[in-house]
Amino acid sequence: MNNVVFAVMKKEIIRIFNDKKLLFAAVILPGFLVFAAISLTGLMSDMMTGVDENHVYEVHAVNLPDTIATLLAPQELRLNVMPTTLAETPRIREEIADQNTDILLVFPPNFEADVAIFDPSTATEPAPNVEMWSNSARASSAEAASIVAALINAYHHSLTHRFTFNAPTAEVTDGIFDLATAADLMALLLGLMLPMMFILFIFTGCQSLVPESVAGEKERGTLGTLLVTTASRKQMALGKTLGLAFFSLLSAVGSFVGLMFSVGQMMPGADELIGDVSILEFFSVQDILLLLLISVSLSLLFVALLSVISTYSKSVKEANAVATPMAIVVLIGGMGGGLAGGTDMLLFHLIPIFNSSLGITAIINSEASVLNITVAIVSNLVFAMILTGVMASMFNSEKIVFD
Amino acid sequence: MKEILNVKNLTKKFKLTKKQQESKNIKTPYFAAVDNVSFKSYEGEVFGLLGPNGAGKTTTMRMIATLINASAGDADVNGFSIIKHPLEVRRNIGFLTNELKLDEFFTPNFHFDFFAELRGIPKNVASRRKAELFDRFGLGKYADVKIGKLSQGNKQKASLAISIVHDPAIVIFDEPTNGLDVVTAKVVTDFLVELKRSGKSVILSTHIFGLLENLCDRVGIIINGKMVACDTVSALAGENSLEEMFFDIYHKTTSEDV
Repeated sequence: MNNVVFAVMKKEIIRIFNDKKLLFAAVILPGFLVFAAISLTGLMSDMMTGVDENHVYEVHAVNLPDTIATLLAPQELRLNVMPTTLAETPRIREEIADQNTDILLVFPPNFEADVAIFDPSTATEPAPNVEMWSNSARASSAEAASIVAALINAYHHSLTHRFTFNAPTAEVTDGIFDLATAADLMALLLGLMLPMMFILFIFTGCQSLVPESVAGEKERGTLGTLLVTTASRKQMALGKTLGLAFFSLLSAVGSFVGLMFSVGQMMPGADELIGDVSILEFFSVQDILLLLLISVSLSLLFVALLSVISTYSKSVKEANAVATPMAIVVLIGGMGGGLAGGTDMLLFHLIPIFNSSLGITAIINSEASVLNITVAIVSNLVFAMILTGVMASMFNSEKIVFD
Repeated sequence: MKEILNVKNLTKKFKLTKKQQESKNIKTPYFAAVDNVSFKSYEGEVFGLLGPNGAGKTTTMRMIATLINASAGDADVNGFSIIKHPLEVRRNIGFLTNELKLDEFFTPNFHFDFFAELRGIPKNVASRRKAELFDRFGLGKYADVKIGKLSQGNKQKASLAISIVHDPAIVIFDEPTNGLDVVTAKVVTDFLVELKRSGKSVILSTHIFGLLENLCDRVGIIINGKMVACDTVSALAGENSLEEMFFDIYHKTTSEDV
């Protein structure tokens, strides 16, 4: 590497390493915050809606018919059905209100016989009614109500319709016929969330470094000191971009690790859906390598983009003010891949940011095309080089450097 | 004496907004901060630029240092045109101004090595020169202290040493003793004399008349962007002091009483 480029790059790296606060804020904090924020969200949502996987639901039932008792019986439903009397219902309802028990079912006496003779076209009396008391503020009560309601609905449909749809069978006692595997659900979850978050974290990592380093140099009067030397503007721009990209990449890796360790708690109940699939087992070596290359190209692209903004700005404050709306553009580009659901049109892989989102989505869905991702990486690098050239030519502008 | 610097009709015009035109009472949309300035400087000579704030001294120096482009005219630095060969010009000059600062996060040691590397000075040469200059300015014990933690005087000494890391033929100093205590100011002025003795051409901008009288072989007076007088101190001042001569010229040029 050119000595001057290397010297400028080395200076940027040492400068950030020496600034403990900046290093912490740009490299360590994002990863930690990602982990902490997502874990905390998961914890809070678990506290509000989560139910222990071994929880046995308490179901109090008055006049429980045999048919329904059979439906509620399978062990995997974890329903502890406790027969009770009508006289006991006020006390049980109070317990439900106090969140001390789960649900209460009240069937009319002779429910099955009444249902059998009931004809809606000739009936003068209302149809037999089943009451189900629950407390949606208690997670286990809400879940038990949901399970029992699904079973009773299925029973209801079997009585009134000529065919049933996904009714519980001996094999599928809970009526859930979705054959998605834990890995499929993991891919769906990651495909939607990860590209956007990952790209945004790389951008925010760059944003915490670049304005301080470029606009900060202008503000402190140290940029002019560099420009009076024999080093060319291009060498300086390239050295700065590479030095900053080094830390931006570290920041991206930190965010990535934080995301990897906390992704199971990203959505309420996601950990249950995901089951035993480890996030670290989810990606192959090639996937990780491709992700890394996308990260490198994105880091360079964002550093170059933010460097142009920072060179144009008079102060760090102004640079950050201009960069913030850019984060929204990055956010939209980052969401694009997940929403588009993957596309093979080569043209899309030339669009910076969006191409990376497509690439990450494809990697997660195990549909990565090395050609498409290579095009995306090259495109990002070409745009980064163009922007670095723009930055170098801006260094030549006395209005920009000395205004 | 060998001619080191030849400034030829150097002009710098800045574009004005309508608001600026109104406030400065200028009819044209351009303002000439430096207007056809010409002067020469020779090997082993200290040339002083004198003028009030905003007269165009710093802009002239910035153009010679190739930090900003000239609107018209040219200057040859050790034979190289600032327009055609800016890189060669930068190779031949050392530029020290209060506006250009050293990064406070680094030490004088680091800065010296860094700027030597930027200027392509071989490591052994840079190391020898660093030892000489740090010894000359008493910076040895502060070599590994961050610039931000140094006193104003030591910061200026470090800036001075680093600005001439490449042993340039011409050194341009804009207000080099500004804000310094008398002891440090003496170290700086003594060093300017040493530079002159070693055959360097020194361009010096200052408001301190005593410094100009003691150090400069010739002085150029810039007022409102124009070089209104340029000669040796004795030829300019005659029997008066430089200060009296300056205010006399200033009054004649601007019709303003001081």
